[in-house]
Amino acid sequence: MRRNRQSVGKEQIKKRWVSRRQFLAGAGAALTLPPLVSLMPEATARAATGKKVRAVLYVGYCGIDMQHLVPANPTVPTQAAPDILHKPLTSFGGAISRVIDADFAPVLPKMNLIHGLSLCGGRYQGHNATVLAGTHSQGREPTFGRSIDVVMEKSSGVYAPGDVVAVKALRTSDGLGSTTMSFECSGGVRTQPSFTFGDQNIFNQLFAGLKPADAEPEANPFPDQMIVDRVLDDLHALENNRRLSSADSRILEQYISGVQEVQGKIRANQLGLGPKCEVPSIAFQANTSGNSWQFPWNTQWGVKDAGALYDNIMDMIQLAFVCDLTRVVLISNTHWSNQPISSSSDGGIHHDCASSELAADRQKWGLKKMLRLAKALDQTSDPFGDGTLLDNSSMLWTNELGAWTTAHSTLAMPAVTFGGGGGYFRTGNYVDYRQGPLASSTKKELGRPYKQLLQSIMLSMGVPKSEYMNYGDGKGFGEFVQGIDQFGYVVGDAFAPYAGTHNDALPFLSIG
Amino acid sequence: MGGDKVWGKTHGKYAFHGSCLRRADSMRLFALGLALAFSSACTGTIESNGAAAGTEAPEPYKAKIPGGDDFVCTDPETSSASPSLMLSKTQLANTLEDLFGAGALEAASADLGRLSDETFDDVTHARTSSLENSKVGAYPGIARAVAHYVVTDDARTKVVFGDCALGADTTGCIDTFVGGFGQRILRRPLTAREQEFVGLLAGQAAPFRDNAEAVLTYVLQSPHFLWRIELGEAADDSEDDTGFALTPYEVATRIAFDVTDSTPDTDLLAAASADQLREPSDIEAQVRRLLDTARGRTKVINNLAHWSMTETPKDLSTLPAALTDGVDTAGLTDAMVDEARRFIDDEVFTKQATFKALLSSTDSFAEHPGLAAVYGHAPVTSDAPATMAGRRAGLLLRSPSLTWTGPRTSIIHRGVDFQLRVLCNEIPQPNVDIVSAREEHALPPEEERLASNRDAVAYLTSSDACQGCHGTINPTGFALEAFDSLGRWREEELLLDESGEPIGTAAIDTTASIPLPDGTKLDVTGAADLVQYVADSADGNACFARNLFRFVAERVETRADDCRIQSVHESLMSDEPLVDVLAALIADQSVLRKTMGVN
Repeated sequence: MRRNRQSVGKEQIKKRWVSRRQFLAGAGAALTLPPLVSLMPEATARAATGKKVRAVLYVGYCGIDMQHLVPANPTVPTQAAPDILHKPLTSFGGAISRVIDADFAPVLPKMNLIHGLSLCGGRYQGHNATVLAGTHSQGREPTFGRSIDVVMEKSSGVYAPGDVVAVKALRTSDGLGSTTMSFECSGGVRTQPSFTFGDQNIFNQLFAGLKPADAEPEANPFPDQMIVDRVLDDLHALENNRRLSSADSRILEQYISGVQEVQGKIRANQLGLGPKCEVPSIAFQANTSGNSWQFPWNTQWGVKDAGALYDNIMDMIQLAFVCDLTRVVLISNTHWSNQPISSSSDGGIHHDCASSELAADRQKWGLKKMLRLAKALDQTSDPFGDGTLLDNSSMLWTNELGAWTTAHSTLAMPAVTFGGGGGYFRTGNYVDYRQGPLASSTKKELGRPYKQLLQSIMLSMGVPKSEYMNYGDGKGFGEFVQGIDQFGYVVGDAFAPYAGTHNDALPFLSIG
Repeated sequence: MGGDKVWGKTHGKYAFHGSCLRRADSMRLFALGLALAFSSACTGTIESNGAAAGTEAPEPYKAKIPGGDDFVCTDPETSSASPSLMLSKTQLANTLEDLFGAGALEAASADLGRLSDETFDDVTHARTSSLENSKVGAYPGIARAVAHYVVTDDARTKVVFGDCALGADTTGCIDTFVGGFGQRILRRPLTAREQEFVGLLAGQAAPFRDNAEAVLTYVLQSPHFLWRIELGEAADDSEDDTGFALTPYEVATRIAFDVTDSTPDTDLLAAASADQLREPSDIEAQVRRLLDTARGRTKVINNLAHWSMTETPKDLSTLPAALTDGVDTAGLTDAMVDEARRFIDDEVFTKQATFKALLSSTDSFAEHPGLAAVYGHAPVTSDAPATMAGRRAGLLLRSPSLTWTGPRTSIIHRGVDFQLRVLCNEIPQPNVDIVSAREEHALPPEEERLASNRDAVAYLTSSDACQGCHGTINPTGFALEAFDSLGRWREEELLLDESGEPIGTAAIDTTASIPLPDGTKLDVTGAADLVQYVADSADGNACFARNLFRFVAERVETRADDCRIQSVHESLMSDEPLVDVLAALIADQSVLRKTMGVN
């Protein structure tokens, strides 16, 4: 079945596949026997006791000047607190800014436009590959903390023991060095999880191997599960072997991660998927062979339509959420147009944006892709809970840097959220956290620590504060430095008002 | 050789350097860049004091690791950490083919195709070894496809599970597997734990072949099959902080994959089973036996073809007719690659050639009329080689490495490749900003067409910023300018207009003063001098020794490998046959022991 990528919505979910276990559960109901939870698909059984929340994180590159993102003159915003102003997004009418145009109207009630979040410290950081860890990249690669995709992937608050998905965190990137956005540090050593490049590889990771669940059960089911469990046991048996070198141990860790992913897929396949799960038919833009991303100048391998590629990716994310194949997605993307991905002018980092307006327009391209996904999620009922998938998602569109220019600034970071995070987030507002009413003019653009937004997202996903506090500079999640020291912009106590609350959720938006 | 070689300044300070290359050049070098981003080669001052090359006493071995100092062998007992390697795609495919036949590869082709192609690191030339989740995700499909391929055919089932698998009573078939073919797959006897699980799978309430398929699927997914993990004897008490002795089966596995890129054959496993892989002489005998197999020869040829840049054919179809006049180009590029491989095979295995001979032999096996014309002899029609004409000789001056897709040779590519691979020089990746700036410095097209290729490139890269690297790259490429884009010898350069029509000629000037990795310069009159320097000099042999080590060890060397590489170097300088050098390298004492040192 070929899906029309122009109209993604629940009407597109045409196949209703029922797995063997679902079949058994359904048969039980038909015979008026009491439905046995033990016979339900695991995911369905969990849905009976708790909702699922999904996170989608999109990080662009190049930075953006906030005047292109936020309303020019928000008249009489409401003051929620001395340092928090807000105004409903629907009250602006039409286009809100150069970037937030009329296309966003359908989801304005379920998004937030946030002004006034800055990474603490702010010293020169080169290319900032640590925004999702709430740290600035002084020294390029800090050896503490972890990005929130990793935190969520490994949290039992997001994936309870026994939860089965195809991949706990789907990470994709355009491969031009943007995979550094995800990392974790342990013992002073920084490691990066693997990314999946191209839509066909993402398809394989999420959907390959899934069978129509309405197929006849196999008479003698092949013991895939038994075998992969044993392979994993074999690997775990090696973990403490003193004869593994450090290099061997690294391979072992990767190996285990890979087998766990296989295990998840097999379980998902065998236990049954969500009640409206569909394996999509996709016109792939990037095949599985060759370095389709990394050698974009080679027309043999290059992606010809980057817009269609990202549309495919967004569509697959929607369907993966329907099937509960993953709950954490990270997109790290330097690309900014539908043009073939190349090394010239179709993607890059902040050095490659020639003007403030151009930088804004390029960021708009990526935000529109997130908008596409948000709209699709909003048109899809959540198979595992009340409301739509968007209601139960926490989507963040942000950037490696704050203001455009080549200055590597991490002040005034852009942040647009979609989704209610399962009821955790207050939505539909332009929120201004700048300290304007309180602070001197030099602090006006700073606002609150950016990491509070990340903490809110983690909390919405079920990661407890006591857990995320472990991943940072020793003072909590990420990094908290009271002062600013960047390009002569020195404010020694800029974040001092938040010394006691920087590990909390972002106020006003967080209501869960 | 009439060149001057002088010892000068050795190391400059590292700098993230720019290079001035055309877009295609820069992109290729971007891929090449990686670990060589920081290099001394382009910042060191090039000096000359007029000492004559070829007249000096042999210098000590001093090939360098990127950014490192000279190697010095101080403790022959040391060896760097030897990581347990995952089977590469080639190794897995070879293993499956050797165990189950070529049909198994076809059966598993879909999932094998999901594995990334094995590559040589463009900078270090060590084969890359990585393990991504997507790779692990392909293993179950491969295992199951092969297992299904086996159990759906009587003959194959019989080979793997024994005669009883075809009878009514299959009791005992799994024991046959455990005691026989299972050991071939895992390269050692199955452990009690493995036997227990295999028994569990075999005891499922299903037909025998279904259970047999499950057993085979498990074993082919086992990390002990896919990962050449080395743990030694559990009861071994000789372990210390530096490492431990390998079991004979682990030694067999090392030897087999090092030599053949495949699993141990039955003879090698039998030797391991009989504990006949403890003595160096026994090990060397096995290595020599395997080197002479088809897989052993292929691996050597692959590695030498990579080193000599003769492995990949280029598309010559767009060369203008004026350049290809008199040469049959149909199938020419493949013929070039095939001939180079045959040449390597003949030199290394038939003639037992030395490194010098490999670089100086004038033998040609060109059967293709076009290639024979390029090499200047009549097409070869028998097993006897022809003799190449002119000053062309050896592996490094064969067409595959000299050809180019455009009418003008790529002086820059030739220079970079030769410096990186043959001279072990360090060329940093190009700086995009400088590349962009250089584009503005190119001669106008109408002037460029009337200038010689050498003059055009020299002008293009004449700025100080460019000369940081092109001062090294260009002279190397200049020395090779006597070969046109077909790799054919030429006395003058044919100048072409925009449509490929001749508009004149330019003199060929192959004289060059080439900076060497140690900071000295080598004056040459052309390619033959340059190759002779590689064949004769301590540095040329040292670079080749380093490459041989990387090919065998599948990793970049560390200082702890100094002694092994120095031994190779000494053997090369002593004109030992290459096959002997390889055998000694693979079969040295380090093959008996897993070292745990820090890389």
